[in-house]
Amino acid sequence: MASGDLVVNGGPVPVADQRDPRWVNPPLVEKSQTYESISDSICSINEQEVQKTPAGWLMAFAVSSALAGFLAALIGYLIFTGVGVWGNTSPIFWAFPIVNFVFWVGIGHAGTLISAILFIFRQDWRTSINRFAEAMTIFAVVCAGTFPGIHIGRVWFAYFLFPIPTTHLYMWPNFRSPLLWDVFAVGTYASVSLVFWYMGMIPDLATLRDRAKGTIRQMAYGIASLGWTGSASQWRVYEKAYVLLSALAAPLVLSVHTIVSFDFAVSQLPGWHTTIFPPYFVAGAVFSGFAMVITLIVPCRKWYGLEHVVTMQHLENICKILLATGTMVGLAYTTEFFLAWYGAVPGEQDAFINRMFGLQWPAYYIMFTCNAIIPQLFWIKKFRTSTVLMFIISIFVNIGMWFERYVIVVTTLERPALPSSWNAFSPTWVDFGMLIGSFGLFFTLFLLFLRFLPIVAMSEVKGVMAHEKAHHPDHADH
Amino acid sequence: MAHTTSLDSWINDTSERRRASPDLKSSVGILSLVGIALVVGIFFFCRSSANTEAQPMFWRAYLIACCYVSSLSLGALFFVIVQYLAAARWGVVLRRLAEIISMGIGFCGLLFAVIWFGSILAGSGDLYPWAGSGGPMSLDRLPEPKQIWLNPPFFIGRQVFYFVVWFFLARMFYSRSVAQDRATDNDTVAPLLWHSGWSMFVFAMTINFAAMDWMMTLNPTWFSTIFGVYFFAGSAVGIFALLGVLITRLQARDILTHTITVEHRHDIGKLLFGFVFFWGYIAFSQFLLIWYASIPEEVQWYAVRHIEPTNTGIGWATGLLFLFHLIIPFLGLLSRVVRRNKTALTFWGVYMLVMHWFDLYYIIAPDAELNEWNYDFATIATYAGVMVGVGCLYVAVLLYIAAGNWLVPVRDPRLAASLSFENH
Amino acid sequence: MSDHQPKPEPTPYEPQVIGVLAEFSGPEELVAGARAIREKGYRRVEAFSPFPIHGIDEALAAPKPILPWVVLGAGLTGCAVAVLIQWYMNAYEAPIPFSGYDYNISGKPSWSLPANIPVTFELIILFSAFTAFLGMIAFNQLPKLSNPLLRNERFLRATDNKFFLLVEADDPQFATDSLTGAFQSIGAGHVEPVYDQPTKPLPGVFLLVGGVLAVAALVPLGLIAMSRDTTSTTPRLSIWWDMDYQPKYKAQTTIETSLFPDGRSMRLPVEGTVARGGLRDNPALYLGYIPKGEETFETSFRLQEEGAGDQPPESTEESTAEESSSEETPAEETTAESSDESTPEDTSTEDAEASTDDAAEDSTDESATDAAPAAETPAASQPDWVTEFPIPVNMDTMKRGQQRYNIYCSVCHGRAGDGDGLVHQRALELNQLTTWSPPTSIHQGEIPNYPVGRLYDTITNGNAAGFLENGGIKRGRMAGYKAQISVEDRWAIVLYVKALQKTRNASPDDLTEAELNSLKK
Repeated sequence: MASGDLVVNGGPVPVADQRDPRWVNPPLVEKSQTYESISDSICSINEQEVQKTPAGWLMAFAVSSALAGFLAALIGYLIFTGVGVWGNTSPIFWAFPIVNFVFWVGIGHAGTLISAILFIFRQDWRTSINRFAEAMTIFAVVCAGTFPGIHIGRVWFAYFLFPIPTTHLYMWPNFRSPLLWDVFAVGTYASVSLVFWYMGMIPDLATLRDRAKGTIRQMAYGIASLGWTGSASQWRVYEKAYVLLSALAAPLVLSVHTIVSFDFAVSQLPGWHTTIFPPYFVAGAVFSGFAMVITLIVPCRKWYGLEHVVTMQHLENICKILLATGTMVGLAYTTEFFLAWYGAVPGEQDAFINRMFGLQWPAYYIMFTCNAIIPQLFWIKKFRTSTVLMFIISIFVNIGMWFERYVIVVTTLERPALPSSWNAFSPTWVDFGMLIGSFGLFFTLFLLFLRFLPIVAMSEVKGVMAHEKAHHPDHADH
Repeated sequence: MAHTTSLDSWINDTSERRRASPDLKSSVGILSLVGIALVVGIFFFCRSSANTEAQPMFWRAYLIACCYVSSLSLGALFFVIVQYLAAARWGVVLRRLAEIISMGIGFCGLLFAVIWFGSILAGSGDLYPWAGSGGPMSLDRLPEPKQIWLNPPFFIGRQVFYFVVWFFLARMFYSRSVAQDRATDNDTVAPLLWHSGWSMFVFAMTINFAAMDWMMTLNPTWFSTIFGVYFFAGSAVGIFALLGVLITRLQARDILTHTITVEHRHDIGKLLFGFVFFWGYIAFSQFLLIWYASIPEEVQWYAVRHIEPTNTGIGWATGLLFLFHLIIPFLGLLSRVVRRNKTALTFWGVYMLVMHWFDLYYIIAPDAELNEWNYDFATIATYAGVMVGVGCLYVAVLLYIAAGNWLVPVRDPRLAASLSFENH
Repeated sequence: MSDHQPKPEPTPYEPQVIGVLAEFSGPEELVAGARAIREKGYRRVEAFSPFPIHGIDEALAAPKPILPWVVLGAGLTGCAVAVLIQWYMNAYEAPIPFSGYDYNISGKPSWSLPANIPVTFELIILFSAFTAFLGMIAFNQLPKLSNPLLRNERFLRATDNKFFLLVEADDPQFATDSLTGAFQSIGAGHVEPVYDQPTKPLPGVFLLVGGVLAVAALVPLGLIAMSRDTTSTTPRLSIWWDMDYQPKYKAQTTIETSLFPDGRSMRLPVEGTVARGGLRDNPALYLGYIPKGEETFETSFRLQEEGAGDQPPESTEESTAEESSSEETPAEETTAESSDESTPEDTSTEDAEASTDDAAEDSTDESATDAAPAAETPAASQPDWVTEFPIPVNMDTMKRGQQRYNIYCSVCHGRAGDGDGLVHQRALELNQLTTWSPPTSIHQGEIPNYPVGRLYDTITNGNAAGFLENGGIKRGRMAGYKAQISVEDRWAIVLYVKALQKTRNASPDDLTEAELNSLKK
């Protein structure tokens, strides 16, 4: 074929204006910033004297640690009294504890997603918020891990979950059970996220070490930063390791909530057994995680004056992700309903009618409104650029995603195949107390992080600044 | 860096060929004649064959081919929309090729019309068992929801709607992008940044239901909520494999040699790798859930794909697909060196295009052929011949669309950024 | 970076130069400087920057890290470990310590690959990720908490906003002065040599505390190990007392307190309750006779009772095994057992489990009190015996009946039904005639004319009728077999018995041509 002749050079090219502001993103770090000002503004948060800790932080810490203590007390009460203190009853054996577990694990997805997947896709805007989100991930996974731990009833036998050899028991975990997959998935996710978070912090801890004035600070940050100097040979291995960790963490993020969804979906219960669950759970997890990022970052950005690092463009991007994942979740709801109808399996159809019109109907409508409808407001630019509005929407999403898990767990379990076993679930004060207490635990850890560790990945932000200067001279300040 | 191109050198570059001449239309004739001759010839051969299985086989082969070319156009449409949605810089130089491929979706609608009129409305159960009368799965024997959903006028009306929507979307992105080649300012394409949002939503909804209509209803008793995502994952694999092959083949003919650099090919390779993994993730999720729960109305689908009914292990058809469509290309594309190498990228592109066909074959054929997989010459010739014939027609249409066009959006406001793009 | 740390000596420490440090203003300058200083022939050049710099590796001609290969190896190891542990723990068993446990659960095979993929995937990631992290630490020779560079005030800005090049002292061209000049000629800012510093030994208190903590950490482990290998006479601690001793009554027990008037811990079923699968509404099959109209309820209740005892005591395989054993061993078994007035069924069920024996005894008692309908009724008021087989009559049933007969009946009645089974022969040998009641021959008297229902009833409830006919001198000792033989099998035995009876008086006319021919051969 002579197709070569049929394609020509085409002659002179009418090139467009390459600096059209509609296509050129605003800089990710405000122009006026220098490397030093970045270090100053971030490190100053950690470098405040102990006596000068802001009153707001102290108050928040007092409240959240009190709630965390309340959680600890309730766990003690649970252990010494028995799981009857919960509303769990036959046949609703998975109630609040598992709802809370899935809720927190879902929130724990944003951090590693931002760090790993956005890193792979070279979304440079991640650098300002990734540390923050990774910390959130770790603490959310801590909260999540608490619930299955206490849900097993005899907490002191929790080691049965792990493949530990014992001559006395002569038994091993059942590797064909999705609940054991969960132990491995959440365990791997928690430890790899921790490593990822810590490794990302090493250069910034070195910055804190080199700026530290007191001996205690020097020693603490010195030990934590492992003697990092920032030499080219260190960076070379470090960057390679970071790329590898990202490439490994990205499928890991997918796998964790996928396996959580397997807990439900490998069963034969109508409403649980459906093949869309894995991607639908992952989308939901990303959705709830990013909502929590907004919930946390909007006030922090204000209090710590981080507007120059976490710019409106970052927030807008997060809002767009919320819109996309919220729509995906809505699409999954629709597909599930459609196929329950189309599949023409009576049990399946009843399960979905029960969701809408059954005992738990308010939960269903809260879920649908908060997750699939309210985020649609982000189509409007005003909602994507107003911190107050996006904060309010993110709260709705947090609520909606909690109710999504509630709908899945409770409505299905309330209606087993045998009508004589049907039951209604009503939570007790301990259920609510533990849910609130888990927020206390989460915020306690998070406030400690804000106070003592670098909350923005300074070295990465500086790298982005250098990159922008080199590639977009119109942004540079010289 | 030497392996990227700056805008200034690109403007003055007279050595590379980057615009299809209007004469390209003249080469379309032979190609379309060959295509029509193959498809029509095989159709009449199967129709006159003494073997009663020959005609259903033709229809299956034809449906596979239709789904195949549609998946490429839909994948291309996805790629174009994402370029605007993510406001991505790097992919600008590849966008025109994807736009041309996405415009093929209108022709795919015509291909499907043959099935609507030739099989469904003709009342033949050869392809869709519910379309014929009297069979065990004829429409009047199915539960009520399926009688509504699979009612031929509604079934076909829905598909017409999908194709109209897709053609509208593809045309919107294509025509504005082409108009921009001659425009004086950037106002022509600026609205696309906003349109990409709802376009993606509409695209996701329609491809989800279209996949179910085309392929899931072949067995009207079976259903899987992930099915649309499965088809989408396959489409994405298909388009990135096709782009990989297309780029290297064009560059071998001195076309776009400087515009598309090793960095762009590297990214295509990465995306191909990523979507191969994504496909595996979706396929495995569907398989594991159905295999584990082992509910008769679901597991039947895997039973005919040679999963033992007693769940004693992976049958060979499913197992081989996981091996050849996931594990081998996953390991093959793992290395950065492979993705940056032209020959390797061509190889894996062709390989994945072939595997994408087998993926569709695996979805479409076994329900009707049950356990009698028979590989005589007539079978292979039918499947291959129909695919080649439809493929020729499809390529002819794409060449027709491409004729007279720039093969790169020359007046895109992000062209400079895309040309100088570098993986780091 | 020098490894030649001098030993601490009493003489004042002489700092040694470890390199020359040059400051650059930005990342591009640093890359250019690195390239320039290498062009001047220096080889031991190191760059320092607050963030990774694109192009510095090429400028320093640094080798590519081998970390990816190490991580790939770790990933493959993780895959192998995961597959192996899952196979070992769930699909393998051997008499070794910490053996795997091959048990079937959830209907999936012990070794089921799809279900093992999630854990395999997670372990691949776990191994690879930790190798990437630990590999980064190891290749960078971290942690290295003491570094003379960190004592240089200016250098501390390397993690903040400054960029440095260092030429180390072991460079072949190293000379402080010429190097300073070289740096200045390529546009470096501040240039200064860096000196080694004496390392202060760790304060002894750290070692002491660390040592004590390390030893203390071993104590709990030691206690656990010790307690695992010793025994104790004190009862174990009951922390959750109400969990260990729960206030509850177990099923099938009596209670001292007056919770219920009858003292039982569980309630009797409501009268007329029919157990699932226990509705035996075909008296012809289950009773062998058609009860009178007014007995309906009574009968249905009896039918259930009958059903309760009629679980097949052992599966077919066991029966087959028992068949062979009962052919070989009955003689010596009866020696012992017939001496203490053993009943025939004890012999035949000697292999059965204890619970089955109990059930057999229970049913024997029942049949004694309940009594078969034939027991108390004179011949005139015989029940309405079934005369047609309620089960399909075919060769399979016949074979089954023969097999069951040979297992359960032939020990007393003999293989041909003449009442000369091995147990009987042994009883004669032992001269037990005063107490021994000989088994009935199935060919004697009216027995060949009995309706099939009556034979079925005899097998089910025992031969109480024989006791009446023998004038009370010798007791009919055959017990009911309903506990051991299932309903269908009893009918199969009846079928076989009928066949045996027929053979006694059969004539060649009863056979077809073909059968005759086959016999003649």
